[in-house]
Parts: sequence; structure tokens; C-alpha cells
Amino acid sequence: MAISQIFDVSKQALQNSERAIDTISKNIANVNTEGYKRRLIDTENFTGSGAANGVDTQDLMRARNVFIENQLIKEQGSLGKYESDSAIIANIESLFGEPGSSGLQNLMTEFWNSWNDLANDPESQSARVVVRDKAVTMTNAFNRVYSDLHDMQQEISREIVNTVTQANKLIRQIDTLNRQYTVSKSADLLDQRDLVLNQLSELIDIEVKNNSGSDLVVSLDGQILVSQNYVSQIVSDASYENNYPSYTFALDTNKKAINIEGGSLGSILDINNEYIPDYMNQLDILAVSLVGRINQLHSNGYNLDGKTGINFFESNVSGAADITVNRDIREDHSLIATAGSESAAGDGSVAQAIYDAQFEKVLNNGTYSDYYNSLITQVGHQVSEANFNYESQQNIVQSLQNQRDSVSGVSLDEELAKLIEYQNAYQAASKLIATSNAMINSILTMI
Amino acid sequence: MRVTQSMMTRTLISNLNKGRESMSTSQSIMSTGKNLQSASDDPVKYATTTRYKETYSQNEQYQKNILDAKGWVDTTSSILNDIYSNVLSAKDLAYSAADSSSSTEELETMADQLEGFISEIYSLTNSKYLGKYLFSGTRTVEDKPFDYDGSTVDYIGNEGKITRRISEGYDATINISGDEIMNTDVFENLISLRDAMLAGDRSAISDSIGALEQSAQDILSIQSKTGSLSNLLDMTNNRLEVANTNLSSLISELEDADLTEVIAQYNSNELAYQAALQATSSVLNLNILDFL
Amino acid sequence: MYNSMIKSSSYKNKDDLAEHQFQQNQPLHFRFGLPGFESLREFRVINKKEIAPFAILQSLDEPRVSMIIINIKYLPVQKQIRRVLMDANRITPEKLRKIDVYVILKVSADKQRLTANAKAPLLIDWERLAGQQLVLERDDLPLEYHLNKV
Repeated sequence: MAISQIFDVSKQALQNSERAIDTISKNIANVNTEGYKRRLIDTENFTGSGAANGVDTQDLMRARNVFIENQLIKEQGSLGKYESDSAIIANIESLFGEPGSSGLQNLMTEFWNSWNDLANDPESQSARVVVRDKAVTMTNAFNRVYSDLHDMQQEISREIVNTVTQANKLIRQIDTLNRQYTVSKSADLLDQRDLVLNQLSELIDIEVKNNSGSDLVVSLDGQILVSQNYVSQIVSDASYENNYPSYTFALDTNKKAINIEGGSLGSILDINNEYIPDYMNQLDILAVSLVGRINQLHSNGYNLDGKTGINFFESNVSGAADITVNRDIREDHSLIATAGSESAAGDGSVAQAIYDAQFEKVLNNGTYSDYYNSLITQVGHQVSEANFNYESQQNIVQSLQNQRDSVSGVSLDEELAKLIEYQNAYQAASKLIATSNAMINSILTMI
Repeated sequence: MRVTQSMMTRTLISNLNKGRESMSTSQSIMSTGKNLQSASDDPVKYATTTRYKETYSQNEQYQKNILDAKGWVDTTSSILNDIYSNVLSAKDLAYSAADSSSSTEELETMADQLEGFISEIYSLTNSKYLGKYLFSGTRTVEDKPFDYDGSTVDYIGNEGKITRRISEGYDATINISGDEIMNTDVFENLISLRDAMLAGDRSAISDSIGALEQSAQDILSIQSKTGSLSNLLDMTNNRLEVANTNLSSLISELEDADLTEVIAQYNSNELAYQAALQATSSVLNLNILDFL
Repeated sequence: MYNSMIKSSSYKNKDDLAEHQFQQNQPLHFRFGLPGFESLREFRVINKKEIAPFAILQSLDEPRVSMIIINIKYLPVQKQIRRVLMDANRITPEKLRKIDVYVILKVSADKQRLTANAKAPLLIDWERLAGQQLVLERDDLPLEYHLNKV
């Protein structure tokens, strides 16, 4: 081989080593950078098949397993949902305060008992005071729980708006990174884009395709959010029923309804559109039923002054929000009826009948208490299920993250070992160049 | 025998005390519900525990109702007993009066005494308990149920039943209404007897003894009905207490740690020693009786 | 140790002992259920070494219903209970010998006290495999009998 050829080979070797050492240094420098994917050294694997498939060589420089990453994006969507479910539904559960002395379960029990005490002592005004007071406490609790649910719903409304804003921002970021990438292909931009994708996946259940270059397509419920030279934004719409907003979404580019089922947005959407309305509705049914039945029994009864036809609760109520004791009774407890007929002060039969109403199977073939109990149990199940799902999903995501990191992560030990290897190669190459140089010099001086 | 207010008060107080003693003294895990966490901890357990607590609370209400009923019923019983005594005394007087040896003046004196019994019984039938007329049906505070003008007694109460819910779906009627008392003809017979005495009509006097006898029997049977009701109340109360004690004894309502801790505490040498002692002696008993 | 001492000395031969131990594992029929649980009719007595001399009364109809019980022979109050059973409830001494009498235990809310319901003991007839909780109408037998003088 000609000396000059040796020179060329050495120079190539030197350049290779230099590039390798650069790559290794970059890896080491970015060991703690979030979303950084280990750069492969030229000689590692990325020629051939990838280039043949038209995949960007920039992307091929990054050590990654696309399959795992796409899985991760999907599972992160579920994680976002369960995490949010878990936290919010638990908050809702604590609103009810069950079991507890100020929870509705106990207050209803005390309400019923007060009627029996009155039935034992229908001549008494003080027993009437107790009935009224227990009723007021109970209706206040109905009002409060309902109002707390309403407040929670409003918070969630705000959260929905914020999350959509945030998601849209991330979508635009991806688009920006796409455009930047078209201009100056760099693995760093791809790293950043991956990061944003992960953040977005926690908010909404996105699907990704061609996650390795300019061909990336991000979609949601089959509709495209971002692709090459295309970006859309999520728009939300609220429709009101009884002052309650129900949310739907569409993309600004085509107005077709879009279903969001995962991510934290999927969670708060369900909670807003389904769970909370369901709880409120059940409370309303309970309240209305209670008011109707007790008023029916009470208005047939007589008080000590022979008055009859009086409602115990205000009759024109929508439900739990406004259930309240008849204001006349609030002002004058003597209006409370006990007897089945006039002039029989010792007759407590109507009060006894009202006590008995608690045993009537009036709602879904169960008592008022059964109905309320089943609501609380339902919420309990939902919390417990959300917690379980959250825990299992955390394991799934963690496992995928570990798998991803084992491919894409930087191992300092590994990098340092490679560094030594390439430093040696560099030294060897320099020696070769020096020797060739020396040889050439000696040849030249000889001439 | 005259019934005084203080006697009635004493009956009331003793009933209340008995009631208080028979209720369990310590707070139950069912009533404090301390071991029950939120539904999400264990939704299935929550549902059943809540139902148990409801039953427990209802049982407590029934016990309260029984206590209330006992006061009424025992007071009624005591008063009926006093009425009965008065009727018996009147009957004795009738025997004496029927005796041909009594003079007109003596008859007049006896008539006065009889008037005393009539007054007493009349007063007893208008008795109040905690401010309510006992024998007025459900007209407990309006007017006094019995009205005596010297020649007849009218009952102006009603036949209403006063009931107490003493167990699930079961209402016990606790009152004896005035018409039951009227049906014994006790006043009619006493007044006729008095009039017969005043008239000196000995044959009418002896005729009246049979009727008075019947009235006394009728009153006694009303009183014993009341006595049975009182026993029923006691038995029902006992059963409710036991039901609630059973509810409080459910292991599922304890946390596992409590159970082991408590058992460990009691499964001590002392208990074992006692047990061994008891066991030995009962084994001996068994053997002797078995093999005699 | 005392458990086996009692059992083996009160049986004339090993067959009787084996028979008795077998019976102890059979389901018991409670004709009236228990106060508060009238619809539960089938129960078992579960003897576990770890909790001896205590045992567990387990409902076979409703798994959540189980209670700790103890044979009254371990308690000083047994004499009183037996006497009441014979006097007031007309259970003959012969009959009383053939049945086991237990009491149901309860832990107080503050977890400090373990008490036995001496007012309503549990009668179990191993021959007929039948059981009943009898409510004794007596003021002298407490609902909460303290287990020892701790």
C-alpha cells in the first residue's frame, strides 16, 4: 500500500474516532437530560435497512425502540386517566362524609327517630321542636352536599378549559418542532418532540404513527391533530341542561365530534358529563321522593289545634338543592301534625306513619336508606376501582419506561468504556499518522 | 287505700331506673362505628355494616319506646290494682250492710264510706301520667275523661288506642280506655249499692254483691292483661338487647388487630388455671352422675 | 393440655371421643336463628388451637356473621347460668349434661374490655346437632359479664 494511502486510511480512522468521541461526550453530557435518547456511534448498526426504508438518518442516530415508545404513549394515556379519576372521585367521596355523624345516613336516621319520639308524645311541643330541628339539619345536609358537588363541577369545568388549552399548546409545539426539523434535521429536535408527545399523551389519548422523522402523524379518535405541514386545535363546546354544562369536543379544522376517552381530560370529561350528574340526579330523586311521601302523610294529619292539610316540606322543590322544611313550620313548630283525627291529642298515628315511611320500598324496590346507601357504595366502588387501576397502570407504565430507558438511556459505565476504546483507537491512529508522516519525511529528505 | 301522687311518682322513677340498668353500659362498636372507614376501603363491607348499624339504631329506638311504654303500663297496672282494692273494700262493706243487724244510721254511715270509695275510684280513673290522662283513650289532655255529678258517672273520653312501636312492625296498645272501665259497670254498681244503702233496701244490697263481685273480677282481668303486657314489654326489651349485643359481637366489625390483642390479653394463665379448676370439678361431677 | 384432659376423661372410650370430635365439626341447625339474625339457621362451631379456649360461631348462610364464643365451663359464672337453666327454664340436669353451653363475647368500643353475654347463653346439642340462643329473663345475669378481674 502506498504511504499516502496509509495516510488517508489513518486520517479516516482519526476522523471516525473523533466523531465517536464527540458522540460519546454528548451522551455523557446528556445523561440527565429528560427525553434525551442515546446517540449511536456511526459504526453501530444504523446503516443499511433503515436507510433503505427511507427513515431519517437523524432519527437512526438515536438509540430507540419505537414499538415500546408507542406502547408507552398509549399506556400513559390510561395512566393519566386513572390518576385523575383516583384523585377526583376520592374527593367527591369525602364530600359525602360517610360514615359520619353529620353524614346524610345518620341525619336521616335521627330524622326518622324524632318522629317516633313524637309519636310517643304527640301532646308535646318540645317533641315537635326536635322533629323540626332534625328535619332542618337533614335538609341542610342535602343542600350542602348538592352545593359541594356543584362547586366541584365548576372547578372541573375550569380544569377542562385549562387542559384543552394546555393540550392545544403542546399540539402546536409539535407542529413547530416538525417545521424546524424540516429545515434543519437534528436528533435533538426529535428528542424534544418525543418529550412533548409524552406530555400530551398524559392529557389526551393520542395515537402516533411513523414516530421517527418528518412523517409523524398524531391523531385523536381517528382525527389528525398534527402531521407534516398540518396542525389542528381542539375546540370545546358546552351544552346546558338545567344550568349544568355538558362538554363535547371537535377539531377546529373539521367540526366533527371527537371522543376523548383517555388522559386526564378523558377522566374529567367523564366525571363532569356522567359521574357528577348521576350523583346529583340520585340525590334529587331521593329528596323529591322523601318530600312527596312525607307531605302526603303529614297533610292528612292533625295538629293539636285541629289544623290539617299542612305540608311538612316545601312542596315546590326541584330536589336536593332546595329541599327545605315548610317555612310556616320553621316559624311555628306547633303546626306539625301527629293525629289521624281532630280532638285526640294522644293520637300519634300520623307521626308513627311518618316514622314507618322509612321502611317503605319506594325507590328501586328499596327504602330511602337503601337508595342512599347504594349511592355511597357506588361511589366507593368507583374510587376503589380507580385506585386499583391507577396502581396497576403505574406498574405497566414503569415497566415500559424501564424498557425504553434500557434501550435509549445513557449508561455512564458503558459510555466511559467506549470512550477509552475510542481514545485508544485515536491514539493508535495518530501514531500511525505520525509514523506515516515520519516515513514520508524521511522519503522526502532522502530525495 | 288511697293512692297518693308520691306513690305514682315512685313507680315512675323505679321503672325508669330499671330501664336504665337493663340497657348496656358500654358504648358499642355499632353505635360509635369507629371501625368503619369510608366505603372505598371496602365497598361490600360498608354496605352490610351500614345495614347492621341501621338495625342497631332501630332496635335502640324500640327499646326507648318500650321504656316509655313501661312507665305508662306499670302506672296503669298500679292504679287498676288500687281500684280493685277499693272495689273489694266496697264489697266488704256490702256484706256488712246486707247483714240484717245493721241499723239505718249504720247504713247511712256505710253509705258515706262507700261514697268515699266511689270518690277514690273516680279520682283514680281520672289519673294523669306525665300530664296525660291514662284512661281517656287518645283524648289525653282535653278534658278529664270521667265526670261524676253525684248520681252518674259519664265517660267522655274516646276509644282511641295509644300504641308504641316495640319491635319491627309491631305496635303494642298500651292504654286501657275508659270504655273498658265503664263496661265493668263498676260505677253503676257502686252507686246503686250506695243508693240501696241510703234507702235501707237490704235485699237490693245483697243483690248488688254479685254484680260488684263481677265488676271486681272484670277489673282484675283488665289489670292482669296490663300485667301480661308489662311482661311482654320486658321480654321484648330483653330480646332487643340481646339482638344488639349480638350485632356488637360480630367479629367482622372488629379490626383483626383488635381481636388478636384482646384474646391474647385474656388467654392468660389465670384464665387457664380457673378453667382447669372448673374443668376438674365438672369432670368429677360428670363422672359421678354418669356412673351412679 | 387441659382441653384433652377434659375430653378424654369424660368419655368412656376412644370411639366416643372420636365421635364427639366428629360431631363438633358438623353444621348445627338453629331453629330460631339468633336474636337479631332470625333468618340465619345454619351455623358451625370452629375450634382453633391458636385461640383456645375460645371458639368461633360461624354462620353458614352469611359469611360475615361470626362471633367469638367460649364454653361456660371456663367461667365462674357457669354455676349461676346452669342453675337458672335448670330452675327457670326447666332443663333437666341430665339434659344439661348432654349439651354444651357457650356464651358470646363482645369487645367494647374502646377495645379495653372483653365481656360475655351471660344473659343469653348459647345451647348446643351435639347429638341432635341443634342450637339455640336462650334469652334468660333474669336481672342477675349480666349482658356484659367481665371475663376476668383485669
